[in-house]
Amino acid sequence: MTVLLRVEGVSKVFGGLRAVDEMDLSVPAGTVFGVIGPNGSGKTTFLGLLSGTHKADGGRITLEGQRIDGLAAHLTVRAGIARTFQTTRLFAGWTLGANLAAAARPGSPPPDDVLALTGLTARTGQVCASLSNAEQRLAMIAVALATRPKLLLLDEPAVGMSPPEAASLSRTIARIRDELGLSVLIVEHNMHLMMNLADRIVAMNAGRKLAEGTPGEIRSNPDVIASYLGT
Amino acid sequence: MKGAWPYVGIAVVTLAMWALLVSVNAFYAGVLASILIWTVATSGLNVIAGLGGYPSLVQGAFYGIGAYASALALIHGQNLWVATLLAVVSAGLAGLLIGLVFARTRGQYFGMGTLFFGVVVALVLTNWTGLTQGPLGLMVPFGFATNDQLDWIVPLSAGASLALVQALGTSRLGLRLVTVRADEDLAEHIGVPTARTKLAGLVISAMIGGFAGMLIAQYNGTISPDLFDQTVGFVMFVAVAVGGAGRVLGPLVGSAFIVGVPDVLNLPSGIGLLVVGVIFVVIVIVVPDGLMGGVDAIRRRLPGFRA
Repeated sequence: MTVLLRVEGVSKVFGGLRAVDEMDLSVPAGTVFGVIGPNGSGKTTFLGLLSGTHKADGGRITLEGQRIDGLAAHLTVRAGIARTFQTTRLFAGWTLGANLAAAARPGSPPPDDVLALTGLTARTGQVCASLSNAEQRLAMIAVALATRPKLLLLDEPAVGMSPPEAASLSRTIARIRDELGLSVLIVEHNMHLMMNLADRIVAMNAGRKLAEGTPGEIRSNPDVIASYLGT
Repeated sequence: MKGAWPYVGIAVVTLAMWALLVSVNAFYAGVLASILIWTVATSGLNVIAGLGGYPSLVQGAFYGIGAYASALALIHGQNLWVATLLAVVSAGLAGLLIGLVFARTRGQYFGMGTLFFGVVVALVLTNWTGLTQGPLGLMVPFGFATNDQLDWIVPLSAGASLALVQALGTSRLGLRLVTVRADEDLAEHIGVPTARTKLAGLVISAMIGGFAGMLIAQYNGTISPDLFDQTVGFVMFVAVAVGGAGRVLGPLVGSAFIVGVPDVLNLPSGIGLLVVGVIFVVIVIVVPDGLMGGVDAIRRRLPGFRA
């Protein structure tokens, strides 16, 4: 399977804290890749390194063979990586349609397609601040898709969602993978969603990779159980 | 056709300003011309501070650079076209310099940086006496054919500057500036090159400010550093905020209050600034989006309003 994203020995240090420490990862094209770990394990920082939010202090990151570490965030987007945020981040006073228009660039999917995929067609003229939490989180995904990514980074997309909403989100992400052929890298604490959706999962602890494998392998990994999943 | 209406509105306002300018007495014509020239300068500021939401306090310096560059060109025998080009280009280069230094800074740091540059320009204009004659100022050769030409060029320039900001607001650059204003981090993460966008906004602001400088130099006939010091840059920022930052007609309305009220009341400059301060405080409290923002808020409440 073609490797879309390759991460080799990537580290990030904040003061004396090694938030991400020698991370290695390969994300194949057209897969959903999960990142799990306890709070403070470096998941969001790792996502920030991939999206250009943070600059790595060491290591290399390549997307389709092209180095992207060190690129500013807007250039990372143009290279093909889009992200959502843990806390809702939209142009809140604008309509959803205006948010999509701001993110669009030549070759972007038609807004109607993105809206249909995320189930937000009826919300296009609505101001984002007035959308429900679940809709706002889907709207972030829609905006990210509008940038025409190859890799979509989702930071805790199911936060605050009810179980039915999370199940719907899971179906949407699976459609993004299956219908658009995108790779999706998700940081998420909802283990039910993660175990049912991800093709592969990497577990992090204290900034390092603890384990990597299929959901079944991760679920039965003693180190992961000890540090995160519990008994 | 819907997209043409703002330009029709600007044309009507421009015609009204011209009609007023040629029909009132010399005193009020002078006040109105000052308001309109300030409208040009603050329309320029409206690009970076209004559309982009960045507190640029350096517009007075661009205004001054444009005034002095055009005056010096005319003094050295160039025609008005060359003088105008020099005014616009030299102010634009100053904007480029400031942008290269400060475009990666944010909020108050950007404001402080631009204020600092405004102080430096005022010091240079005051102390480089070999070039500027210092506080004495310069007599500016008249570059137009007749005085009457200014009566239509000043309102036309004000209208053109308003139309330019309207066009920019709907352009790709304008949209990018607005995303920077709304949430700079998010803008960066949807692919907007925020530093370059701010740089472009600042350079355009500067060029329009430089053009306004040429106009004031021509209108006054004399220029001196106190017309362009850091206080002017700050008050221009206040004018944009009072009129409504990012609103196309905001600079005209803001300039009318900030320049027009003290002039019409014939207040001494210190008292005038005090009045400007009171106007600013009252408007910020009552209509935080400026006077045109208040007008928009009222329009939205009217029955049948459609965005």
